[in-house]
Amino acid sequence: MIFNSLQFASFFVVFLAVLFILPKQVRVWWILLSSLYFYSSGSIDNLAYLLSSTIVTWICAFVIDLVPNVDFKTKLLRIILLIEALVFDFGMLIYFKYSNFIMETLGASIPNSVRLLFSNSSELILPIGISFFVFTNTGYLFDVYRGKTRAERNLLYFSLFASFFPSIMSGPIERADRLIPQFRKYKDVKLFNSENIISGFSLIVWGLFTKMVIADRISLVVETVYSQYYVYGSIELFLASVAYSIQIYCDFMSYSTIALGCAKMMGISIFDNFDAPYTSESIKEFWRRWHISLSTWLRDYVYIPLGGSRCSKFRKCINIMITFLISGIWHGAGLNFILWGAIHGVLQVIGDIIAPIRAWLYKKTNAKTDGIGYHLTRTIITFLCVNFAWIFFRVSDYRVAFEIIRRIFQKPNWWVLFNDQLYNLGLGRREFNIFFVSFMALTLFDWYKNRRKQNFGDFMNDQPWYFRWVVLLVLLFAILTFGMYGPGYNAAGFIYFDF
Amino acid sequence: MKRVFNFVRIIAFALLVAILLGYWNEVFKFKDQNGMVGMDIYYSQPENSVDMLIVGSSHAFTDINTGTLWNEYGIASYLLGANVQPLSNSYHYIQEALKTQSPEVIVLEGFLLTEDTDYMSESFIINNTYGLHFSEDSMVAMNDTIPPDADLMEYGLYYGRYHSRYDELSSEDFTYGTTSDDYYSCFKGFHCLRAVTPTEEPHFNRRRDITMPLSLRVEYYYRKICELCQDRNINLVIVISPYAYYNYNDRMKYCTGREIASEYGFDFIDYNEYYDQMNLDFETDFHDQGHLNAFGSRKYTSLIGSYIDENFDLPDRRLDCTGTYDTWELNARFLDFDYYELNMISSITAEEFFAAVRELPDDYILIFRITNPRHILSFTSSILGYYDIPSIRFASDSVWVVESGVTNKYVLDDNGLFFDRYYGVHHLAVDNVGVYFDDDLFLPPSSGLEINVINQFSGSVVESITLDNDLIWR
Repeated sequence: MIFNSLQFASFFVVFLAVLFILPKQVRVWWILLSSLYFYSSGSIDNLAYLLSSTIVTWICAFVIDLVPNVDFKTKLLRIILLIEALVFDFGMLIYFKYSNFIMETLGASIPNSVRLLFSNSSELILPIGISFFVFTNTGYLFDVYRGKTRAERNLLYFSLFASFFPSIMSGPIERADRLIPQFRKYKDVKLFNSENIISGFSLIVWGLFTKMVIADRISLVVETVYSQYYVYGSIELFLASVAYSIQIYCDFMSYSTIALGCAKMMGISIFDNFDAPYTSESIKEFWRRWHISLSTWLRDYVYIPLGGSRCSKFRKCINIMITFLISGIWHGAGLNFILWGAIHGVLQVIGDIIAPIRAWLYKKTNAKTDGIGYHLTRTIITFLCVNFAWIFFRVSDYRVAFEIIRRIFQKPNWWVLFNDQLYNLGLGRREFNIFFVSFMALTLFDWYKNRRKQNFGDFMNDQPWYFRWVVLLVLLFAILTFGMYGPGYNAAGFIYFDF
Repeated sequence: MKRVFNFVRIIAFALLVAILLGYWNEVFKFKDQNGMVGMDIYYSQPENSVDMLIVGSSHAFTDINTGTLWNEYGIASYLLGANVQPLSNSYHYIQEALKTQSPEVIVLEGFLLTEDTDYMSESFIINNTYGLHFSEDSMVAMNDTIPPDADLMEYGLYYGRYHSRYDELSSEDFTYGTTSDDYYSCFKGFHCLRAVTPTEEPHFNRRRDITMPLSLRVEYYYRKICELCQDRNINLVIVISPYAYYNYNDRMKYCTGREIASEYGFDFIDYNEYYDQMNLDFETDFHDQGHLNAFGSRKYTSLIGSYIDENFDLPDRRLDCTGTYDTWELNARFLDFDYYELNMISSITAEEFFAAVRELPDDYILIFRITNPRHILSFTSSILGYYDIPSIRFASDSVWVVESGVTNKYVLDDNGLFFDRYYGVHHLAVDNVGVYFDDDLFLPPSSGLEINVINQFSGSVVESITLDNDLIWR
């Protein structure tokens, strides 16, 4: 069941209607039941993996919390419990997500006993959302182990935290200390709250607009060019790489926005996963704005435990590289993802190294650093770097990425900018115009979001009702008319479902 | 109080969305005459006004002319046809039709008795079902029409199919169902074809005793139709329209169809046995190998009408003064235009063209302009004489407009226009460049005598030709 489907719309309407009329005490149960139903609607097998991860994590965290951290024995017990749970959670993730990759990469060097374990690796179907719920659960384990949060004794609340349906498939990766207290106090929440409804509904509409009108439309260009990269020259390949940058942003951001909207409508606040990331002026800033829940997870549970930035410069660079390599591996089992992570790591390291040189140069050349030109240049350079890395992310084989990059630099074909050839890349002139207008609307809002730090729901809540009506009507009818759906269009879901 | 106000506002917004969505759906929905429009408009017929219902495939809706049935016999008929309409859909259409009408006679065009395929392709499924208004029955019909492995939701959600029509919307999509004097307001399901393709008369064994079994699904629904008519006490007549690729296999299946019809006491008439009686000319009366044109459909329908008139006691609704049947009169008028216009556009010589033009009723406006007097020969001069237009040299400063048999001369005005007038909602203007009708420009194809024929009633430029040295340039 995906967010841009009629099944989900029906499910959510019924879910909300029942939630609003149920007695306060049973509302949480209803959300849990609905979450389990939502997750199992794709495959009932997946539910077993989710539930087993949830129960093992809950029990281990519970015991870790019970055991006092006083002497060697108890410390050892706590660490054994932690490792046990981590092995279970990450083991499941590695088995489903990476076994095929491990077999292919390491091949003959694997001992037979291990090989037997991965014998059916090519037939494994990745349980949807496994990377997200495993990170959610392990993040909780770390927090309990470190004493940052107490273990949740009520299995109901913990199960709901682990399986909360708006975020189970593609995040945001939630934190226990943020979400579980909301469930505990849920019976006191005033459900029919017009602000929540307006804000939530607006977020859902905005998310659907960015997904169905922008992301799925521009994906036609991406698919056309990337599937036959060997027949295209510099301009088409470069534009397709930009198109993919737009597609993946709109696609993933839309999921997170809809998730945020759904949660908001039921009176629950979750992470806003994106903060106009393409307006960033450095790679570091980009990662503060892109997939925020993953970035902060990696920061808190990988980067800082490794020593973070409170160490030597060399060690810091190593920490950054390790963190980004893990980020790459998390996204997918393939060398292309590892390279994608490595590129981001290297870019950030370079950014840190050259920062003082850059400042010195500005000072020496008396270049102004407060004008729009300065900020725009930095934004464009950052975007081009991110865009470059996305090429590795999009392809299934890193060698294809290198070939695309080679062609971008070695096959200049400027003339296609002046004839109508670019309209043959999957989007005709009319379709391109629709995309362009929609994308401008998104850019305008991202610019606003960057300045005011307000998401679309909050923005709409601040507007007079007639303005809201007009904006929502325009967006709704844009989705209904220009959205990519219906027979003939394969609603293949969101890109991040694959991760 | 604030809470109530907020609640009311949310409900009002939802209502507004629903209303706009309803309108949006009307604009975007398919308006294909090959099935959907006929059924859609059927719902707006006055209750129990249809005396004769016709169902079937394109052999029905392009061949059985509702205008001829009205003009010659006063029969108020309605045609529920669709492209390649399988008998399962004919059955569901009849069922739906009988909810609001009580026809005395149902004519089933039986070409699809020959069908061997159980399920149609996607476009035919849509043609045969999307005219049905959404209801439980329409979903049953849809479920019956789609292949067993197809997803009912994919077909059942109509809007999902046509929401991307935004690049093909026309003014018709916005005015459909909103005006009272346009083509659709009086549409009775017949779609007149306006082209001439010479074909060859099929020759076949006329024996009626050699049969071939129908496919199981076809026979099942054929019998269901017969049983439905029997139960409802409706006279069912099965007809086979003339077509040029009629063959022996088809013939044997029709013979089976005839036997089954006789089991229920219904008549089965294969009109391919009656080419002479209807005076069918295979050189001029066919639009293509399978369908009759405006000429052929008149001849064929006339024979059907005569059979109905002789065997059933249908009232002559032309005598009705209540206004219920005004739309049938209007429909016949529109269909007459098809006949006149086909006569004109199929002409090859200048003589044939003017013979057709002289037959035109007063609904037509003729616009003459001499663009090159030196290219006007004797026949063209005689035409000008017929319409009181002087064949003067260098007459490019004038146009002549013939309306209701009266010729008026127009000269260039200060705005550079010869002629500028509204006919209802349609706008006609003529300047030095050409003729503008509803902002579409019609340019003369050559030099000599430029003639534009405009149907002011239907709002269309029917012909835009030049007579150059007595030859037609289109």
